[in-house]
Amino acid sequence: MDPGNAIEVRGLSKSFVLERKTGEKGAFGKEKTEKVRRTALEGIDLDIRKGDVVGIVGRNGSGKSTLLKIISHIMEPDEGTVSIDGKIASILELGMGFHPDMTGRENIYLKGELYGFSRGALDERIDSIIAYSGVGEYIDSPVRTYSTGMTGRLAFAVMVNIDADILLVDEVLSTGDVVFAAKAREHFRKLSKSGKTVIFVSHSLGTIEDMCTRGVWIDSGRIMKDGRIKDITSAYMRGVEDSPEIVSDLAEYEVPDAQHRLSLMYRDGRGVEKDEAKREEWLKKSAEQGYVPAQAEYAELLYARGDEASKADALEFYRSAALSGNEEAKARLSAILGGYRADRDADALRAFYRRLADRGNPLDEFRCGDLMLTSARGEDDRREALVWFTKAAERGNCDAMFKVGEMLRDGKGEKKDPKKAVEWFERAAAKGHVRSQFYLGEVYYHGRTVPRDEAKALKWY
Amino acid sequence: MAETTEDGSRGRKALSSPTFDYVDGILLGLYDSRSVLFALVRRNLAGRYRNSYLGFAWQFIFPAVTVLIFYVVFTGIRQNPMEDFAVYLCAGMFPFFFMKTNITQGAGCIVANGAYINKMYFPRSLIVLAQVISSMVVFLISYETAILLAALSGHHLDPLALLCLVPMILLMALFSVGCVLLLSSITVYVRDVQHLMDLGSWLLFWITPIFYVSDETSGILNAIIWSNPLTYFVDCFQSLVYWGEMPGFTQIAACIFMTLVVLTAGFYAFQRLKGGFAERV
Repeated sequence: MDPGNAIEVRGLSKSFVLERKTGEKGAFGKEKTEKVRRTALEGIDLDIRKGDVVGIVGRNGSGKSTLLKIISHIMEPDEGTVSIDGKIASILELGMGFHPDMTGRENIYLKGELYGFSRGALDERIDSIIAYSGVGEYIDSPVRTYSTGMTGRLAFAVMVNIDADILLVDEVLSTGDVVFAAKAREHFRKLSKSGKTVIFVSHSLGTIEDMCTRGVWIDSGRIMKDGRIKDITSAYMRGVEDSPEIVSDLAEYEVPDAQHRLSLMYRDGRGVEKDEAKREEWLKKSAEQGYVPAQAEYAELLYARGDEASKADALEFYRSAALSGNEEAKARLSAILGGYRADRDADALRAFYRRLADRGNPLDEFRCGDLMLTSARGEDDRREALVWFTKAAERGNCDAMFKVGEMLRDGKGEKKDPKKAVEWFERAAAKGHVRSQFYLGEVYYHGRTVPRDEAKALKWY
Repeated sequence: MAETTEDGSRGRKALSSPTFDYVDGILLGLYDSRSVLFALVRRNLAGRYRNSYLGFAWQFIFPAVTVLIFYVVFTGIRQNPMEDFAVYLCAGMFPFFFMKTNITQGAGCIVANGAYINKMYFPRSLIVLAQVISSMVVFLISYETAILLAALSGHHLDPLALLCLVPMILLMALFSVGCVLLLSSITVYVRDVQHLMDLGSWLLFWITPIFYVSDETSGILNAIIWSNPLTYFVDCFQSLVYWGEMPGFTQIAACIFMTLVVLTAGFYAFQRLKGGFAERV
């Protein structure tokens, strides 16, 4: 064994026998089971240098915990060897060893002894352990009355006293609150500075990046990558994002961005075979769940189909994406609408907007009116625009009120009616519509269509 | 330290050194992790009855009530009543319950402590030792009390015989360790064993001469009684406490022989099977 190494793992393999129901009935009416070997670790070689602080990452069931258990001698490997230089302690579960009916104080002794302290050593440390745990007056109450956080803190307070050269820590840091997490991080930082060897297993990549210098990524019982922690965590993240099983698993679980990612994978044939139908299916699901990038992409796909129904759907998705602030969708939308306006068959667009406006949303009604007005080819269109604007205005849309005022003033879609126009302007202005206020100011100041009234002009200005 | 220096047992296994070294290494490992043993014993004793009013007393109530019942029933129906029948009952009942507890509870002790086995390393045999030590504490207290009461009630006790109780109790403890080693490790793989032992110990109760005297039986019943290993131990205790004489040579020899057999078998089974504990409990 290399004297610089704290742990040397050579050719480590471990598999478990799982029983699986076959469905056949056997003796005693019990279902027959067949035994299946599942490989947990396969040919692991790993050197941990003294003073290394190593983070092990990997998915559930990748073999991380099994590796830790074999290193800490809890489990025996099928093949391979583990050599260890130094005193080793494993903290695989924070609350382990607590008896719920015993008091906090008794449990400190119990747990301390399980971790190998003598009673005398614990007598010396008990006060500092109690102080560190912050459990305070509850120390002589049964542990079952403690909150999860208190139990965790108490366990941790015992743990910081563990004196070993090599510490194996499994998913311990993810419990507890912010203060606890900070304390725990600080403790392990100090440990690693004092030259102890620490191995962490955690799903919290942030924590691991924060504390470890070296990372090992394990997947399906094999070491995928070993190196600087930042490289490992980012490689692992990429691995997770690119893994077809994970992504499709998440997509099935209706995670919108995974559905989108899966559709991209089907589009590009990354990890899966290219499949346009599946791409579209997942894209649609993601878009329908309101995932903005998927909406924009799906809208484009729909629009390219060319039939009116698809185009209308496409516009809807564009609109939804645009409203969520997707710039691409906004650009596309205005390009399409601009084209439409010039287009001779803008009727489809109008039909679409009417449909939207029919839902009774004042904003949609205003938009519809606006479209009618800007693409108006005759008085009929303008009349319709006015109807939409009025509807929207009556529901309190200030822009629509202004438009109604304008149209009445100019005699578009309706005969000129300056008095009514001013009424609408005043309604909009009263609700704080700036353009209306300014306009009214002008009107009153110059005495257009109404008697000149400087007081009113000043007020609106 | 609970986690022990790894070069301990693992290195030894690779060496396949002579038996003496091997056993020596195990004993050393046990000594190193004695604090874990204390913790386990304390958890067994103090933890179990923490929430009950009578608490620890429950450990004594069951055998005491059994003694009482048999005393009442058998003093009523016996043809030729035994002198100090209560003392005779106690002399055999408490050792029997000690062994019974170890056979039944002990069979499940590895499974019951799965949470520890899965989460930390310490010599697995500590759990077995803790089991036997815990029931030993209960046994010693109740047996002492019973002997004291017997002395107060005026039953003649032989001092030399009482002194011989010490090695006898040790022998019974070793026998129990062997049983627990064997049964608990098999139970991990075949959970039925524990239930089988529940049933078995109940049967054993009737074929152990606790509330009757073995000499009073004859024929096939006598043969059955003496084919029960516990009979030999119980008989020795009755000789020492009730009759105030040395146990018969056959009985002692049988006890020693059985202890050696069970210890060897238990030790072998435990060593073979302990590697799979963590993944099965």
